Amino acid sequence: LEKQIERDGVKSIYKALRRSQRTLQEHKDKLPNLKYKSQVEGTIRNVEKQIQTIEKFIKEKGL
Amino acid sequence: MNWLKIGKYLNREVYICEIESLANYQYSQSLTLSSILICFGDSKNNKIEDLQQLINISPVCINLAGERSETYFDLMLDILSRQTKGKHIMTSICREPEVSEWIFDFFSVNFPSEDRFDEWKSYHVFVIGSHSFYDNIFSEINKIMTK
Repeated sequence: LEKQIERDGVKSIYKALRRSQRTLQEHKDKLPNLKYKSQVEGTIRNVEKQIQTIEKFIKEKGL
Repeated sequence: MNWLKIGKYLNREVYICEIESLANYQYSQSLTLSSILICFGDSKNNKIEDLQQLINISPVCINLAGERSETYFDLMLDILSRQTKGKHIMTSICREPEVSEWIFDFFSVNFPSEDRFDEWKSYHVFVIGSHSFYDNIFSEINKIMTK
């Protein structure tokens, strides 16, 4: 995220956050239609962690 | 199929290739260590069973964008949901119409799962469609490489 700010600016961090939230929702929407859910549940857990990391970064940096 | 090395993004090599279809594509094992972006243009020849071959390689991420990517996203999740073994593959779809947004998502939003982050070595971009479509993708990636 530090490198991303250097390259693309603060706006890109917020954009990445919004896109990650969208990715999370897209996978949650697909869950009910899947017979076996472990793969998509794994993706959901990872995206949730990525979102938490970005939100923590924004807070700590005061962005 | 020859991959063209474009450069490096945050110390990971970035490759691109132009193909007419995923049908009969011979996947290299090196793709296991890569985050993959498949850009669907105007090709008419793709068959979904070819995504199964890519999934068998277990790349760290498979990201989809472009025409018919919604259909492929559903099918990809269906294939993955039936796999009970193997390494975790992160998945995503970019529904934005602009190619620049596909590239942003690929490099700045979509990452491997925590348990596979350390094995991640490269980015590979498959471009399926016309040569002008390929040129457009190549140009957008180059913009990021040269920033």
